[in-house]
Amino acid sequence: VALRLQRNGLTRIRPLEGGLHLWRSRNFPVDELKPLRVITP
Amino acid sequence: VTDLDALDVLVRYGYVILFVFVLAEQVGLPIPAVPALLGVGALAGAGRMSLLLAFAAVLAASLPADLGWYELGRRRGRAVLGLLCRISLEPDSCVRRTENLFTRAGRKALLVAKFFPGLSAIASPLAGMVGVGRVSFVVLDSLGAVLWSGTWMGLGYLFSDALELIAAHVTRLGHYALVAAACALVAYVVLKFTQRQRIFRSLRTARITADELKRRLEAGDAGLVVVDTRSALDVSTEPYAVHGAIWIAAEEIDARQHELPRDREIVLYCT
Repeated sequence: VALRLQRNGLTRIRPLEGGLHLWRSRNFPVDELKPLRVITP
Repeated sequence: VTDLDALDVLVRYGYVILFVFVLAEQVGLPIPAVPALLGVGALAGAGRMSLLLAFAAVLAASLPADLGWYELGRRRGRAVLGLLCRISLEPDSCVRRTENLFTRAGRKALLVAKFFPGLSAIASPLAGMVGVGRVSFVVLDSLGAVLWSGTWMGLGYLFSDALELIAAHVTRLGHYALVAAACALVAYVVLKFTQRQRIFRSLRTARITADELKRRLEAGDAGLVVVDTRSALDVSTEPYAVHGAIWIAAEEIDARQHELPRDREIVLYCT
């Protein structure tokens, strides 16, 4: 995604280190999203 | 070893060869099982092998491997995909394509996942992650394996004459064909690996840490936009986002990039 955006002229791209997993593991603030689609077991 | 000996070896150990190739592919290694399936189908067409035993070999190889990945996905979640990422040559796109397939088709994705190279190993842990039941998984995965192997072996069976001609040409070329195939495989792996390393190097330099992002968000820094690029399936399994982030799934990024300001830093994250 970062490379695609860079190729289209958005040059100030910064991937978040550790992604959402690390962010949540540090108990940093999050917003709750409504589940979009659930696959029934 | 004469040509006849070599063919005899192939007929004698065909099921074992098939088992090893299918197992390697299902474990996630970049080794395609399709040539082995075509070959076995062609030999079955010539009456030298049994399709029934070939199906048994395919199931014996794929089901335990898939079930192992499924259980890991069920118990360890996304950490398993991280492990597969380290094995696969195109992990990021392959994980995303599999997730999209699951989002569109649900459990039925297991029936067709094996037709897409690189997807089949990801499909099993993903099925475990999204909560597909064990019995459903075994049934759908077995049907998928039969469908996939049956298609390729069926093609080998139908075109056994043509495949025999190709095999004869390859045999005449002898070691040169083997060396050329090995070189092509090594070149492919090296190319993919260096491409991947180059991408990671360029992104590593620009990364933002969680601490820095939190600090800047708390300070009300208007110079950045946070974008959640996870797929719909990821959002369904983990319905949380970094505070203030906008959600644009990776597959929508081209269509919606006009929403992103060019004069601000764009922080991207996935799982």
